[in-house]
Amino acid sequence: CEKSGFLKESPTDRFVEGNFYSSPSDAQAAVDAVYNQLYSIYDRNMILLNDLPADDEKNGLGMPNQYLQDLEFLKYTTENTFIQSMWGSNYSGIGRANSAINNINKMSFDTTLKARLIGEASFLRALYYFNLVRFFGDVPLILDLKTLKDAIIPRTSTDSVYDQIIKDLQFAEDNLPVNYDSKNLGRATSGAAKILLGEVYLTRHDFQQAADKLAEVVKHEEEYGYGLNNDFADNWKIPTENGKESVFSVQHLPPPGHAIGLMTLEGPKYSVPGGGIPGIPNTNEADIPTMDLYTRYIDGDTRKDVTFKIEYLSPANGQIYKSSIPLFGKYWEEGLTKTGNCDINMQVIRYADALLMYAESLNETGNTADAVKILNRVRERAFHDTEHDYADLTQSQFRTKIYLERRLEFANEGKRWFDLVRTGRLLEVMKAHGTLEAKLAESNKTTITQNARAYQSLYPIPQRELDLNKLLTQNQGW
Amino acid sequence: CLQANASTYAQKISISLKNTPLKKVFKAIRERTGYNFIYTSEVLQDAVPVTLHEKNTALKEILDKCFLKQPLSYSINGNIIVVKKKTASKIQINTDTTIQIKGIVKDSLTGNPLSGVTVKMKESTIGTMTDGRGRFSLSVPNGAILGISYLGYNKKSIRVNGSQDLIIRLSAALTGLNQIVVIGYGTQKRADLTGSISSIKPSEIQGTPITSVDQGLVGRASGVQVIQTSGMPGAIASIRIRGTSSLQGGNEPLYVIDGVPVYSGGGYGRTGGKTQLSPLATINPSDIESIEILKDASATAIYGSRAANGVVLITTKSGEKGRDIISFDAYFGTQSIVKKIDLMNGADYAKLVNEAYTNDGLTPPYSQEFMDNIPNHGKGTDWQDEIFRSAPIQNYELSFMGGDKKTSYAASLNYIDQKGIVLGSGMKRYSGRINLDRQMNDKFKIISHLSLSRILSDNVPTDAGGTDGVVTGALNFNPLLGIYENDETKSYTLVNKPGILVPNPVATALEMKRKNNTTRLLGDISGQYDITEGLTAKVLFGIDYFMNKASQYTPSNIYQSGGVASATIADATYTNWLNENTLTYSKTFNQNHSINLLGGITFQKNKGEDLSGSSQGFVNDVLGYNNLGSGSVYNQPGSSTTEWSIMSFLGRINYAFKDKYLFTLSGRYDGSSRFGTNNKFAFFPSGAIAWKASEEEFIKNLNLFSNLKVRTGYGITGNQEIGLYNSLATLGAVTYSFGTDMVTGFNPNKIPNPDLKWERTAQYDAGLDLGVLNNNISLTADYYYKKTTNLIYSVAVPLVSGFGTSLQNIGSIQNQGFEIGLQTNNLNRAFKWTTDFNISFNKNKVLELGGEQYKDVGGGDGHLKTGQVHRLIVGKPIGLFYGYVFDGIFQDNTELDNGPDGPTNYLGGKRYKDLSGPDGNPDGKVDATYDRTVIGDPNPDFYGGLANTFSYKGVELSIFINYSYGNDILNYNAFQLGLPSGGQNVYADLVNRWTPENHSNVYGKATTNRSAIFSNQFIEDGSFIKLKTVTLSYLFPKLSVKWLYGLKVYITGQNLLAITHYKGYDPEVSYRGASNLETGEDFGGYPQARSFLFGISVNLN
Repeated sequence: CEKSGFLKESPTDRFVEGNFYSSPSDAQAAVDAVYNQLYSIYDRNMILLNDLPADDEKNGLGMPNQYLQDLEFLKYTTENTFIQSMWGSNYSGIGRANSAINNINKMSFDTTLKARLIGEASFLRALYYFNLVRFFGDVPLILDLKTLKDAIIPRTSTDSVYDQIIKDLQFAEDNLPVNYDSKNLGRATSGAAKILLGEVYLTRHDFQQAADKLAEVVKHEEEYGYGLNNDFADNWKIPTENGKESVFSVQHLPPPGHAIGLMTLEGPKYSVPGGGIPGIPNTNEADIPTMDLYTRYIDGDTRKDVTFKIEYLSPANGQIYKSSIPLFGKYWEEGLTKTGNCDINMQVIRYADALLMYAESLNETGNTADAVKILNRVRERAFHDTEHDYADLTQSQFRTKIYLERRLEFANEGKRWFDLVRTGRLLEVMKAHGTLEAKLAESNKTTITQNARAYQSLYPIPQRELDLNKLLTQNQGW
Repeated sequence: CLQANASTYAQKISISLKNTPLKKVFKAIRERTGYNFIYTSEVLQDAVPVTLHEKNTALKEILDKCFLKQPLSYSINGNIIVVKKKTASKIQINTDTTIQIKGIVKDSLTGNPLSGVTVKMKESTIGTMTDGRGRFSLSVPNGAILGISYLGYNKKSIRVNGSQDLIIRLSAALTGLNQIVVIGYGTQKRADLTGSISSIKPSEIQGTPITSVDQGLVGRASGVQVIQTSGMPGAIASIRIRGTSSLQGGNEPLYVIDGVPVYSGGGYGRTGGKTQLSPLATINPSDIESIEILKDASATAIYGSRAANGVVLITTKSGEKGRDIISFDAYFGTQSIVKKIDLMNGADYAKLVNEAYTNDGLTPPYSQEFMDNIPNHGKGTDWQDEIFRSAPIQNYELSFMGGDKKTSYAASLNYIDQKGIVLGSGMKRYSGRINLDRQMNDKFKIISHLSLSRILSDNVPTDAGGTDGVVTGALNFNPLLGIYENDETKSYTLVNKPGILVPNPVATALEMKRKNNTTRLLGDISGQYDITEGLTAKVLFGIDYFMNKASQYTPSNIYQSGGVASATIADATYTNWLNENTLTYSKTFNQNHSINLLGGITFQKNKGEDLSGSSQGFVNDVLGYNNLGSGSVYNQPGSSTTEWSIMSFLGRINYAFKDKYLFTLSGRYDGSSRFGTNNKFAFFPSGAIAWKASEEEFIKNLNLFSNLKVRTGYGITGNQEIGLYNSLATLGAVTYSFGTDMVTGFNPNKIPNPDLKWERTAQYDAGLDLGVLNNNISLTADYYYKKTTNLIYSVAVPLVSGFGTSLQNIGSIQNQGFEIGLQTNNLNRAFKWTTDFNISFNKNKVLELGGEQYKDVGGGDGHLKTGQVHRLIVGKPIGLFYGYVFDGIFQDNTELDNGPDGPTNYLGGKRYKDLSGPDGNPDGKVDATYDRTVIGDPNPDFYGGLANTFSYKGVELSIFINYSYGNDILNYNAFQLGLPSGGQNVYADLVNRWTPENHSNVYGKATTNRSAIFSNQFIEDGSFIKLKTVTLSYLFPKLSVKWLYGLKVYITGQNLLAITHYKGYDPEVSYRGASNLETGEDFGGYPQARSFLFGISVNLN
């Protein structure tokens, strides 16, 4: 009697399973929660695991902690918190996607909308698993978690995980629209699904399928509304960031929305006499470019002044302050005084990437001539001329050129490590990097050359997970 | 003789008897009149024979003659004549030999008159009681001996020597076995207790700079460990009664204030750091009449599911009948920091910075010219001097107490203003209380308590760890920088540089406004009805209304704002209502069996309502946090509404046989909303036996013990403090944006657990109460064993599940210990000396952790990235520190080559011990899996207190010492203060850091590389002995002013001296507040102040 009434716990300020997943707007909200996980995966961490351990980024004088230093010097262990966070936040996104997909499947409402929503969640689930297999290799494949026991399983082979990724992306490309209205900018589109699928094939060295899939978009780019911005910088400007070059990006808004922390983390502090730009407090120069990266850009490349920033305008006194070293510039929102409010979107897939991946696939399938044409589109945009176009490249020469092009194009965008591993150049490049940096900047960088090991092409499975699930095995070498 | 009437007296009879026993006289009268006599044979024992020769005489006259010489009286009730022994006052005094005396009885200490004191001529029935003003008058033979006795006071005898005005001073009894002790849902004589209960005299903490009763419990009772979490005015003290028995649930005792159960938890408020404010600070300590701490299951089980951590019963003062007293108390004082930490001055620091940069091949920041011109003659800025201050404290109190036959009242007003020793901090309390009792008629009584208080608290962030918090800031900030970047425009130096991002602590303290305004209404009203003799029903309604408004304003001119001013207001309201319905029955049968029964049903419900809002971008700082609408950007608001409820059935049986053998059985059947649907209710029983050996003849014959009692008990109690809605599969809200539109998404944020149930603590207690030399030495000793099972813990689950943790009942933990309280009356003449000593030993042990052998717990420090620093290990105590073992500094290349391979392997780098490896042997590598070990234990081996009071005439000196031995502290501050990185200030001692010329083996080489490896280097011995409180008071003797009844002045010193090896400010510290798993940490804590007070206490008639 009293048991049911006086002591019943029925919260009135939050949802509980059982009173949710009933209306289409509930379904929408369940899918929107899957997007939210992009923040913790991408906002800094994707760069920390892709660019910091590679040859593009290093720790600034902002007194980095041990885990960051370990990443820079390739000394990280199974307990590195950033690696664990990458593992955990992707799985958290997968959990949300699973719960959205499985619950929406049980609901009945407008079939087009339902398929779209499941398609969005499938796209994100594929993206999250794609991150996991690239960082960690074999990973547990979980598509439905009913009880905790469902999480205590061994690692699933990379091939099987890829099968699921491809299945999800195929569902997404079939059921997602080409574009959305202005209130839905940033949702996954069928074009994004196709390009991501192309990247999956490319990563698996399935070059023909990659070329075919990417061709579906590139050959019909106007239907999809894709193209390159004339100005490279437009990709990181608020009015144009959702333009034709943006295929899929993490959407930011200043508070009360979710801003991006990179302006704070990459902004100047130690390298400017006086310690920062007057009127723009709070920058801490934690994540900075390597000289190795900076010296790769040649004169005339408009990407250099966008990727790096040396001169800063003080809103307090109108003076220009110069940094003694180049710092990253893509996420510097000019005119903002509170860096924590920076809301530049983080590009996950730009159309330039689709083009370069397409070019790479063409080259690998023997069509170097067409590949060069595509590559030159990206170079022409970069140099605003055709004088820097490539011609008459062999397949092998093309590789060298396109690898460099990707580095120049996507610096500070969280792609470097994936590229190095995908193309099998990790060890060679990192050994060279240590030596080069030592000459260019800091003597202690030679240790990177010593520390680089082949097995680092996969990150270690976080120790915490091994401890909690005895069925898991560690990657080789760790 | 209410019903005697004229006809009765008019009836005339004749009777003639000679030397006849009274009994036979009664028989003769009955036969003649039909009147019956009622008496007991005992009454007639002392009757004398009667001789009567009456004819046609009225019955009354005959009866009067019968009773003339008898020690008896009679009354007529209808046709019944009741015969009783004569009462003392009715005894006729032979006026020829007696004299009239009068006098007053006072408390020897306070001078307060004592009412209701029995004044009796020895070996007679002549006696009286003092009135409301402590006065009495009596007719006694000259030279008679008067015995004066009063509950809770030592008896006194005086010889009457002529007619005079007597002034009799009674001293309070050191051990009052007759003292009435408040127990759950009732009271009991201390002598009759079967459970383990410590009583604390509130007078011990009154007149000391203590704003909340929890702080005042330090060292006062055995088995009660009080952890001062912070020195911030109004900060909560965390209390562990007989050890920590929960990993993750609440560990604080249940407080019951005038019958209303209130769980104070880990505190409340938003102070900017981990410091939390004490809800108990809303209770004026001077309003408290008694504090009882229930420790064992026999005492606590009546509180069932909330009793596992012990229960603190607080009873507030009520008025005394027939005595109106107005008291005024005030004290004023000053507080200051006890010690400073010796840090580098500007010149030494500049050298260090340049050296660190040079060592790393970087350009040194400071030029020689700069170094030659460091302000303040090379000293730079002493940031500790800048944030600490000498702070005043003042307290005023006015109270009115008294009552008449039917009504008693106590009313008080209090105002305290305590500034904090850290710039910008402080609290004020305004409080008022009215306690009113009224006997409505013979059977019905109304009892009410009502208090209203308001606390205005100004907070600065301390205990904030990492780089935040003003104390951390003051320790770490570059001494070469000034408070202002520009002294003329007063624009602040925003942040420490070069190095770690520490906001300017002075700017933070002065400019960032954090206010916690709290209003609390706590009251109850109950009706008590005596149904028949011994049977009483009581119905109580109580309410606890608690409202906190936390406001914060961050102006644009300090670092934390990022250049944009912002304001936040968070409002939290809790409304907690209670209904208790109890029946009590007590009776004594045949003088040998006495029983006391209690039964009841109670309901309690709590509703919490939160609302918060914030905005940013204010035009200027004038409006502060008072108008969120004037900001230019509005942030997402937040709100929540939560509810929990408990319903309980409770019962207790106390049975005493011959007042020697005492038995108690009690239990509570509790249902709580917080648990899974499968486990809503649970039963918490207890039983105890005590034997008052000193009542046995053979013990009495030993003439050794004035008191000897052994007692033992066992029971089960529970812990329901697991938070709300934790068994349910709830969804959490997150946001995302599409283009410029924000959307809210929902995702499951918890794995449901419908089996979630109570933590269950089974406790065994065996105790001994012993008094010798007329209780001049009395000792209470207890052994206990507590085992808690079904521990609630957020078990780490594989992240692949999408969740990090799941709340489960996984393990068990035990506490066993021994505690002693010793009170002695060392000297008891004109010069008096009493000692009160207690010591407690508790051993904690984790028994089971859901099948695992250990768990790493706690957050470590986010800024230092220490990782987890505590490990729970099966078979070991809770809270152990787990880390690397520091092994000196690499002095040369040979040492470096010998390794082991660690994180700081360079000349002048720190070396850590290679303890083991994958195959069980050192593997030449220092890593987390094999080379960490237990490096410290935050649990004390023993702790306690020692109070000595000396008095001579009106002068009294009391000295209170508290101590703790064997507890380790993780000095987080030392991570940064011992790190010569040039990124923050360090210990002055680091001038002796490692250099190629100076081979230090403690402090490494200066380098900007910041390695925060958690090693035993940061574990320090936290044992201490503190001279906590010294009070010297003077009670003025005879006062000629009539209206002035007592006048006392005193001076008090608090935290005068500490003997400790701990290098931080204060070994009484807990950076993580009332945390269970992460005790014994210090990171930028608010140090406790040394205070000096002057006080005055006046009693008016």
